[in-house]
This record gives sequence, structure tokens and C-alpha cells, in this order.
Amino acid sequence: VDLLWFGGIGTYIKASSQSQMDAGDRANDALRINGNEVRAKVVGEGANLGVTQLGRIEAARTGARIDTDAVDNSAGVDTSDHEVNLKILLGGPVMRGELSLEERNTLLASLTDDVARHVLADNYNQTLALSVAQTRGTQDLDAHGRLMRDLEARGKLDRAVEFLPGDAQLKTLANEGKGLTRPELCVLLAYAKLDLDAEVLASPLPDDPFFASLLAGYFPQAAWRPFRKNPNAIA
Amino acid sequence: VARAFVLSDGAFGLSALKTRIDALDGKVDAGLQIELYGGIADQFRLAARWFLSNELQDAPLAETVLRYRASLEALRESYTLTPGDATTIAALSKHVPEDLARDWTLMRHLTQALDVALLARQTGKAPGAVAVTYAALGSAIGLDRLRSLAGKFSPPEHWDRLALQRLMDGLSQSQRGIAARLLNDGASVEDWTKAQGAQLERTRSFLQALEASGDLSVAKLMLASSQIQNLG
Repeated sequence: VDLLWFGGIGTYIKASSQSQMDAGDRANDALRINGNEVRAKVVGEGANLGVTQLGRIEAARTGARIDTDAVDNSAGVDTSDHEVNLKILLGGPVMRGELSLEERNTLLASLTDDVARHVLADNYNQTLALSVAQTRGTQDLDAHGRLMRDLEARGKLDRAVEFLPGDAQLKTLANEGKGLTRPELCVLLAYAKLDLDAEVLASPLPDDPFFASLLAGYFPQAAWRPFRKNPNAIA
Repeated sequence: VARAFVLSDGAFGLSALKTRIDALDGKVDAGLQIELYGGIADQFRLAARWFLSNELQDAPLAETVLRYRASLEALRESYTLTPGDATTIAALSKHVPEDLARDWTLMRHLTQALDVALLARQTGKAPGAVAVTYAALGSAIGLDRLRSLAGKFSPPEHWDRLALQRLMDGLSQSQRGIAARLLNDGASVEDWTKAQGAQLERTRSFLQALEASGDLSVAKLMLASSQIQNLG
């Protein structure tokens, strides 16, 4: 099997260390398999909660290529993110009377393909970051350990809640020459992004004029070009 | 740290290099692409660490990027490919465009452009002139070869990697110190080489012996570093 794809409701894979109860989906108890029984080369989680996190880790350790539902599904969240930010951006021209609400809605609809391209590029880069991190997973295991300990010390992460390895497990992995699995890296990446986002926003860094192009690059050109007041400002 | 990453990206054009690797999707083995991306990740870490130690934390980004980029271009012109570089470029060129193979391989060596930019500012000399002196010195002492070897050596322990980085930083600092003196005195690397005489010879043969002795270690590099510190 090349690809096992989840597109609907239900939890179909758990870890062998978990009971059917742990999966929390009684309707599918008869169908559910363990992570180490997955024979598909790739698991794609189009739906949420198709696999328990421990099931993902077990499948990954057995050789399946698997991320998490949050990563595989991120295009939906990212599209909503673009939609909200586009509405905020166009709020200025609407308030100034340069654009009617109806015109705004037509403009938003016309940006669909452009937004899809931006979102797909984000998805591409996020899974690429995971692939690079996975390739260097063994070498970077101690760095990942220090990141987790740092996040915990600042009260931003609870490894037990996220099924991330504790210090003793990290030592075992190091001795076995292994790194974190892809599903674990997915979770760690999310925490790293949240933390970085908070730190960067709290710093004067985003105010540097250097980032003007980065901000403009986030939006399709058609959304801001007609409304910019000067070449350096957007909308 | 984020600022240092942005400076690294701008100075070395790392995002642009990444886009060129993206363009190879479906044309080359994904494993090779990941390896090339990994090189960029390494470069981000290397350069960001340098910026964190050597650049003002509130330096304006656009202006700072331009200054470093000018030095990078100057150094690219005066940098001589080592036999190892040529082999890597030739091997990569079998799979990826030659210009990408070359830029990717040179990227790590051009990290020295950061030192050149700093020196240019400290001495008030043009980056071009500074690059010539800095590169000539690196090749006269044998530091370029040592850097090339160290670049391929990654100890499994985090603390050893940290020690290795510190040692390499120390070597760059020595190279910068000597280059600054030569530039300020208007002296040539050739004259300096003659004046060093036997001391430089000892350092060179030590580095050669170290290179021939097989795998590198932090201990070997520490000894190399102290040899170089003895040069005046």
C-alpha cells in the first residue's frame, strides 16, 4: 500500500501500548489497528484524530512516513488565516470609502487561486522543515532535548501531555543512535513556532523597515496595490 | 536570534539558494535535495552565531545586509577553490546545475566574508583590499584547509560541537588580528610570511601532519589553534 488516507471521522490507529478505550472512539474498535501494523508507505491525515499521537510515533518507528493531522491539515487553518488578515487589510479601504463591501467581497473571491498558492507554499515549506529536521534528528537530538527542557522551564510545554520523550527516554534514543520521529518533530515545531512568534512580536524586530516586503509578500498583490498610499506602505 | 537569522539570509542570499533547490523537485533525488537544504540550515546556524557574537543587536537590517553582501562579493572574487571544493562541485554538477553546485559549495567558505566586512569597518579599508589580505593570510597559514576539514567534522556530542565552534571562532579572531595589523601598517602578506620564518614553517608542517593523521578531533584542533596563536 502506498498511501493510507484519512478523510472522515474516526480514530483508526493507536499504539500497541494503548487500550481501545485510550483511542476514545468505540464505534471503530473493531477496525482499529496498532501503529506497528501499518503497512502503508505513507499515512496522510486529511481528517483530524485518525491516529492517536502514540500510534503515529509507533508507526513512524516501524518505518511509515507519517506527520500529524495538524500538519497534514494545515492548509485549512492557513487559508482561514489569510482570509482574516485579508479582511483586516481591506478594512482600511472599506472604512475610507475607497471600496464598497460588495466590491470587497468580489475582490476576495477573485484572490482565491492566489491565496491557494500562498497556502500551498507554506505547506511545502513546513513539511520541508520537518524533512530537514528529521534527516538531522540523531545529530540534533541533544538540541531538541534542550529546547524541550527550556520550554518546560518557562511553563510553555508539558512533555507528558504531548507524548514527547522525557530525559531518560532521550538518553535511550541517543544510545540507540536515534532521533525524534516525524510526528514528535511536528509537535515540537508547533511549540517552537508559537514561542518564536511570541518572542518576535514582543521585540522591536517587526518594526524594522526591512520587513515591509515580507509583509507585502504575505498578501496577493491585487489585494494591496490599488490601495497603497505610498510605495512603502501597504493599503 | 531571529535578527541574526535574517541577517544571515540577507548576507548570503540563503532563501534565493533554497528556491533554486526547490526548482529541482521531481528532477533529482529527494535525498540529495534534503542534503543541499541541510547545508543551508548549517549555514544559517554558522552565520547567525557569528552575527550574534560580532554584530550590534540593534543594527538596521537593510543597511547591515548590504554591507556584508559587498564584502561577500569581494571575497568571492579573491577566493581560490581548494581541490576539495573542486571535487565537491564536480560531483554535485552531475545532478544539479553547475552554478548551483558552485554557489552551494562556496557558501560555507564565504562565511569568512563576515570577518572581511568586520575588518573593513574596523580598519576603514575597502572590502576588496581587505578580502585580498585576509584570503592570502588564510592560505599562507593553511587556515582555509583546516576550515575545510573542520566543516566536514561534526562531533556527536553537543558540547564537543560547541568547543569546536569556539576553537574555529578563535582561529578567525587570530586571522582577523594579524590581517588588521598588516592593513593598518600597509604591510604585505608576503613580507609578513618572510618575517615569521621558522615559526610559520612549524605551524604549516603541524597543520599538514594533522591533516594527514586521519579524523579530526577537538583535541587536535585545540593544538592547531595554539600553534596559530603563536604567530605574531
